Amino acid sequence: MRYLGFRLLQSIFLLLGVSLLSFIFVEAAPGNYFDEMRLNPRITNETVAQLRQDYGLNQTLPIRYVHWLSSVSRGELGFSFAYDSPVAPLLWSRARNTLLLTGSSIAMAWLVALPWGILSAAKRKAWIDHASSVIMAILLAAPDVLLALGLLLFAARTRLLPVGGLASLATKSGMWPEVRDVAVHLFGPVLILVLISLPTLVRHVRAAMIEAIDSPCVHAARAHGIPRSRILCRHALPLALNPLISLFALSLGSLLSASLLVEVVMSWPGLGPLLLDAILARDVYVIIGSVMIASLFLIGGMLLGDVLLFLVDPRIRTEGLA
Amino acid sequence: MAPPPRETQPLLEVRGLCKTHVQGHWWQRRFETIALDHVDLALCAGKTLAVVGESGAGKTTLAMCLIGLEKPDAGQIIFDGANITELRRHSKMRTCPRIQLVFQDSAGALSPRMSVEEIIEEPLLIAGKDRASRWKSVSRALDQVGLPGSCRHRRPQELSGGQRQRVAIARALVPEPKLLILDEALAGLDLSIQGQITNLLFDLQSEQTLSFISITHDLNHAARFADEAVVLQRGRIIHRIDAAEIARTFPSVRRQGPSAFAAQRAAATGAGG
Repeated sequence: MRYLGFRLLQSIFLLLGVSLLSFIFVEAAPGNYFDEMRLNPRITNETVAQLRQDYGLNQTLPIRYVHWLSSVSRGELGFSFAYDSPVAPLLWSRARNTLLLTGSSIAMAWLVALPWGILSAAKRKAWIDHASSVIMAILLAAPDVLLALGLLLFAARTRLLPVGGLASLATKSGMWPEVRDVAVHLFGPVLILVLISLPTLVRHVRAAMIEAIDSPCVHAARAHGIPRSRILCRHALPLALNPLISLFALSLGSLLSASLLVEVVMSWPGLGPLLLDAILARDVYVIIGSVMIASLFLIGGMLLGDVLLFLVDPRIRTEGLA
Repeated sequence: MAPPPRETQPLLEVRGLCKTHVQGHWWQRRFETIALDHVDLALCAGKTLAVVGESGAGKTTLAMCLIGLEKPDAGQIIFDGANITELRRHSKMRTCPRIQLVFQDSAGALSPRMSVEEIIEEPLLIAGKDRASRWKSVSRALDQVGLPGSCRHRRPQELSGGQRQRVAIARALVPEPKLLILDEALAGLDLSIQGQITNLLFDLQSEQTLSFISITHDLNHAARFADEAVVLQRGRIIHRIDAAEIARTFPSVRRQGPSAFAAQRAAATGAGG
């Protein structure tokens, strides 16, 4: 519990540091949300100055940071100039869609990568391992945008998949038709995200399993006549778990940030398009809010990874108690 | 002609065993290392054979071939009347538990994720034994190797080097083997622990008619421990030493037998207590 409390305190300070750095970097970027208004001859300089004053942009950075912190304490995460509303509800409605997409894709990617990597390691240097290496190399080399555009082309030509969005306009009402419609829309972006993350995961699982299979205790288990399937599941896999848990924690940490590009290309109404629009329009509090939520997930993912390692590895547990 | 009496038939017979390690892929220059070159051995039940040789002589490859982890290129391994080199995988799985190997690096050879109990009972779990009989067998094995019952739930990293080596021996004993291969099993332990484990092995041999193949660099240990010895060099047996020659060459360290060791131990315990 002491360890968990210490990690939580550390996370709060880390989040404060991230927010401060985000403020400084956004301030350092040239221009602001009202600069484009100056180009419009029908809006006077006085109106722009009044708007800057209303939204507090003429105040110094420390004062704006303190105001932002007080809005965080109210659960608002600042105010969006473009949407004229608090940032938190805006981000939450989009973050739900992003979480649905990335959560499904990470679960699918791990479900595929784990048995694939184990099989590849168990059949090392056999044709199945060589074929897997070639497939992974092709997927790793293919640009993410190309994969997404290829799937869009396939969807547009064959009409087997929707070309974008989260739901169809003409969906029958009722729970199952709606779930089915979302699942059909989800298939394309999830497939692309799985294909993007699969090479990294499979290579890591294969490498960790090979290291475990080559370890003396697995060698000894083979010498004692333990069946191959049990050696893989009971001896090698637990030994390979530590690096895989760290990788899983990293993938949880990137839940909100991993899919930005795919969301923009596949028109998924998640955080990606919102963040892109906010960056182009210099809607600073939306940018900072998105960065903060992504950081929160990253720190939460790392914390969960540490807790999982603590639970899974008896050596870490023993060190922790000592 | 009448067959020879059962006692004279060797438990293990190795005939013309050859193994060459090949390194490099088909597109690279290949390096061939002859690990075993027409090795012939015989070991009777209840006896100990020491395999002595420098590093790279082929000692471990011989152990790996005997245990079934390496497939020999040529030759036969006849164990308990069956040619195990020709056995299919399923039949080999039945024979393998009768030959067990104890590694030098007990810290590496025992899974850090499993408790002592899980490590020792694993062969019984695979054999489909129920929980009660597994518990009894683990207790007996711990007792045989002189470990307290409190070690049962500890993990290998919580034990000393000598205790870990005892756990490794207990695990090897649980499937009731006829032949135990000790691959430098005492190297790296201090002299008093080496002595304790040697005594333990002598006791086990006298109680269970176990046969040992001891792979070692140490000629003194071989002389103290083995009934006969072979010296390997570059995969070939270059010298065979029988019991009489061992006694002649190493009179001071010659094996004293289990009863002598037991008497010594009893005397030491009596003096200590």
